[in-house]
Amino acid sequence: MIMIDDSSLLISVFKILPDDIDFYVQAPSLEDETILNMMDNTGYAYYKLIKLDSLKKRFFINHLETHSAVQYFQNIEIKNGDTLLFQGFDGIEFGILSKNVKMPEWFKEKCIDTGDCTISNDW
Amino acid sequence: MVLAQYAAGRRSGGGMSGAYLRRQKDLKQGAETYKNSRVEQANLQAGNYDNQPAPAQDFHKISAALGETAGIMQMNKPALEIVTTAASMMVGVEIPASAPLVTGTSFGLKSSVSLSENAVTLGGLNSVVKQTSAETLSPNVQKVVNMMSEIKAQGGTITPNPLSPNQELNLTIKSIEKMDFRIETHVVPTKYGGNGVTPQRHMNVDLYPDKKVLPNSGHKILE
Repeated sequence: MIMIDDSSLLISVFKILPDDIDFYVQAPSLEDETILNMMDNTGYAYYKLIKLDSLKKRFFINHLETHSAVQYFQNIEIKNGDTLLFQGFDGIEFGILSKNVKMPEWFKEKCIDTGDCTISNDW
Repeated sequence: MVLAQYAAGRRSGGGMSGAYLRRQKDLKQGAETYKNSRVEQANLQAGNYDNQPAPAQDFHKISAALGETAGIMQMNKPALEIVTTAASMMVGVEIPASAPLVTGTSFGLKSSVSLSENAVTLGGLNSVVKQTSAETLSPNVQKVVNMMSEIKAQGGTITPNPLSPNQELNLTIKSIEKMDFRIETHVVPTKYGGNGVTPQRHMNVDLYPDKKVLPNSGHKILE
């Protein structure tokens, strides 16, 4: 199985977030049929929504680990209800994590200390 | 053809002298476009266009915004000639006395460019080509039209994408290879030239399937 490197930050973020989350994504060039089939329209022309639960999240992570799709994600927002948990940009090579998310040490070392992710001061 | 040439050049490594000459040409042209846009911006700020009709003032604003972007792109991404010229399309547009004005929304532009109510919004790049009559085309625009026709003749497309609130421009150009071209504002990490703290206006050029082949992974901080 080939692991796709560009999904590293996003998958790390998934691992520290709850299972039931709303994944808003702007990816107009994405051609991955598996992911496209998971998407619903939103009230925003630029965002599609993938509603994840425990099972779907596991499937989604596995798919991202084995398919080159994350680089097509221009912007994402991960929410739990109305609560914003994470914002990611530019193929999710960089993102901002909510200050309210409990962060394990491994995530800090892998994502925060490297500059790939920052903690929001505002939300 | 340009994208195809670029793709072939990337795979083969390209001819050294040819690449050098192209680079010099791109630097020169990009610098000229950038300089002209800065002059346009200075004229705008000085109020030198205040006595012109609103559509003409809109044109100068769009021209300044797109010209600056195009110039920077050409100086920094010499292989991406199609995007550069597509973005600089408005720079050479001559405004006919009584014809509708092509607005920035045709290119997905928004808040950074203020548009007047009497400007007519067209439906995208393809409409621009159709709406502009032959006698109003400058050589610069004609070159772009020719390139776009060439892309389309090869089955390629240029598609403006819906904008998120932090974006000013979002285009997908599809030919032999696929490319996304965006101008947006958010925090950019230090490894891509940002400060990693505050939102910064920048340009993204995503060349698929491996966007990392571009310098700085396709990131360019703008003013």
